Amino acid sequence: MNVSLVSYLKCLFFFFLNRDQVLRINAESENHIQILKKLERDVDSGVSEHLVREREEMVRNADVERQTKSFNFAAYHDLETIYNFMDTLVASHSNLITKVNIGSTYENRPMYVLKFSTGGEKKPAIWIDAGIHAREWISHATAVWLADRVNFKENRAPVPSILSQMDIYLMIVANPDGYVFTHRSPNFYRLWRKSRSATSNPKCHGVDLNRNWDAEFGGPGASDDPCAEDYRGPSAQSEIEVKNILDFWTHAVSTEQPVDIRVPHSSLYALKDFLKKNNIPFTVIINNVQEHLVREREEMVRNAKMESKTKSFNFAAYHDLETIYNFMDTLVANHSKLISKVNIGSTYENRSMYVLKFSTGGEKKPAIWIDAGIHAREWISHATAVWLADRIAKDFKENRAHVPSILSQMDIYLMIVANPDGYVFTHISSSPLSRFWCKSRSATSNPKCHGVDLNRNWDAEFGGPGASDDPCAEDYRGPSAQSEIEVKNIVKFIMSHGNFKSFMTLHSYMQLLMYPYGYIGIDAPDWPELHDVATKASKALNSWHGTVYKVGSIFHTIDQASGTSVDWAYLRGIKYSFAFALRDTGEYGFLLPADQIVSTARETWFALRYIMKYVCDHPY
Amino acid sequence: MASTGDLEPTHYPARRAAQVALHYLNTHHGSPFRVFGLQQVHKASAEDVAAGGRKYKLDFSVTDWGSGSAGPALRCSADVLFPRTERHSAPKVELHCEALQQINSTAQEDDAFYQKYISPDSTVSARDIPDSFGNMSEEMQPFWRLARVAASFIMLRESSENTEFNMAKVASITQQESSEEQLMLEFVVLLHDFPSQEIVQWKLLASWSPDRGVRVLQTEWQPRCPHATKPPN
Repeated sequence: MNVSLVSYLKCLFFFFLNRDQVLRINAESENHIQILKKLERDVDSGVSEHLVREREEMVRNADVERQTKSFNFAAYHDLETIYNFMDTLVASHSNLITKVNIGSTYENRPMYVLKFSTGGEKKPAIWIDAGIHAREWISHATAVWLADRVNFKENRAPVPSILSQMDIYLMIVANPDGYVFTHRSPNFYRLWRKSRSATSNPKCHGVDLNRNWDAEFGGPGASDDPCAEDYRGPSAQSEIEVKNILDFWTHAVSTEQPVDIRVPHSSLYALKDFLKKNNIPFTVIINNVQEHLVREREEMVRNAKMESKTKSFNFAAYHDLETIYNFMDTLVANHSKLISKVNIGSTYENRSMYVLKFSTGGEKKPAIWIDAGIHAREWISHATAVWLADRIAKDFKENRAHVPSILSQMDIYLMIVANPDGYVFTHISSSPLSRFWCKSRSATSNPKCHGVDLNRNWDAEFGGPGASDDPCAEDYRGPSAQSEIEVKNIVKFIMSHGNFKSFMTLHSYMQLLMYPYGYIGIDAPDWPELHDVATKASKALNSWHGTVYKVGSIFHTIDQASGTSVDWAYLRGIKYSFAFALRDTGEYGFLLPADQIVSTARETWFALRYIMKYVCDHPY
Repeated sequence: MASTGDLEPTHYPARRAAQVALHYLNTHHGSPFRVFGLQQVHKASAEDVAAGGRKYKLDFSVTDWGSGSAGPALRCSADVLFPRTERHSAPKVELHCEALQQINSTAQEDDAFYQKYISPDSTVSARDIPDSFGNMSEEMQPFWRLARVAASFIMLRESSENTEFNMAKVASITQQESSEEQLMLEFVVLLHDFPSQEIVQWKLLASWSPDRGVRVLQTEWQPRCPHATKPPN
């Protein structure tokens, strides 16, 4: 190979991969292989810098997935997130999994192996590692998924029998230094492969960890040049990490296997000429590396934004207000013929109050109202409503009973967050008590105390027993009926619509299905029918998971309460008015673990669907 | 206003009285690996008694929260007397549960837990159990149950016909120096009262050992600056 070509190829002083290509070269003879190997050593295929800058998405994703319960397996994660995932996995399966620190990397990061063991002393063992090559991100990501999958909790063959006889050791990140390096920004060394150790050449770092093992070390098939991507290192196992990586994306060892190389744009024609001159066949497999990487980065960004798309929205997690509002927008966008978002006014702190309208058309069809989150700390109610929104849309799209028939005759209005100000307040982490905020956030006559119990502020025997006049009390009714803007907005909306036939509200906790009255202990005129509907709905609920709900009026199951929304609706002639208190009965109370969200939502749906069908079949 | 005679088991008067019986049961039989919860009330009645109190007779079932929904239910009966005195005084409970001695013993887990944390170097300290999302590590679960049992002493003592207490959260756990071979734990717990919906904060010092069970040595109500956004200093 002539000198000028080599110097051509060594020219790599620009830092973009724009118009770089990846060529697949199909060696046809031993001679071709020798030429290519020499070429490989001569080419300065050091890393180009990227100016990719979309890591904020990954960082945001990392914050959200602090627990494996809501861990997003369909996204790439940085080292810290993967290490946190390991800790959470160990914490949740502490009798099966332990984390073994097998030493530190060159840059002093711990190297962890997850040990899956049912006990015993040094049982015969299986080793799996990933990420020895830093840029091969799919390997780490796969190993993360595998760690979660290898879990004998559900007794799925053949894992329990394997683990009864053997231990499994899984190392998710075999080259932590390299992996961290591939995440570096603003210079995005996404294509870094080796370790990060210093070498005899101060300009070049790292050893190919998959050439550093004591197995014919020093023989052909590795380099002595510290700047090479397959630099073997000064001696076998000189690298703490002891793993190796190849520079070429696949490495040719024979004529059977093709060789893929990334060629800088400036060297492209020279190399192609060279290959043609030596009759070595090749094809272009990536036409523009920069574009490809941009697409890959965009893919990652999209994955990181996954939570905002309902197809992969994590229903088994609690979300903040912004995420829920984004979810609503995506749902509407994906079901624009069925669902629209209605802004019914602003809160005290000037946030929008949204209702999702499910409608197959028509003017002011008889309608069903469902709201959640009127009490901010009852997070399971918002989370259930989010799932319900998606479920109603899905059932309609997939023509599953009884949603299509219900929606042919009625509209459904679903308000996921009836108290946005309060909900935002419960996410403030500065005080352990803020999670338990219940009321609105309006100023009151007492400057030390904020907020009104929005479920005591309705014009339904307002001022009677079962609510407080003290602004500092949790059940403070407010200075007057509908004094709270949040209540006023809902009242205005429902009254101006004028054709609601059912009003249902979701709360927690205590597992109750209730009907009017709250303000007084006498039976409502429709008591027998309401009790019968509620009883059958609670049976439908129970059929999913065995959860037992008690049925009765608000007055009798909780206590006397005045100014409640359910009483208001009933007294306005909306006969089928119900209040749900969702899981549990006190064990976790308001802090219901997220892994119960979907189960809770599904059983609640069974009850709601029963009631909606009943309302539909009994027009009045 | 309260009715005398048979009570509707699903209504709150019976449920509140049963919850008092549950607090009593947990103070006597709760442990790091056992906390009982109310499953349902089967029958209930109430009557006024001499000296102005009100006595509830209850027939109900309980489950061990540690066993999950798959666990067996224990059948219990209880008399709960709410005194009607000038100043509040604690309800009195007489309780009998079938087969209490026959449920699976947790002696092994109790001992292992005790051995692990009785050592002089042990200085367990944690906050927010569970966290806002309901998460709790497996290591913290026995401590959470101990806090729940210790809190049951307070909840029992503070109960009346107008309250229904649960523990909302353990705000903090701080292990103190062991004394007389007892694990010594200082808890700050948040209690939730269902009728008033109030969150009440208590600090307490409790001891535990497999032999002696849970004892509560000190309790201190923690005042809250009304709905302040910053924790009080």
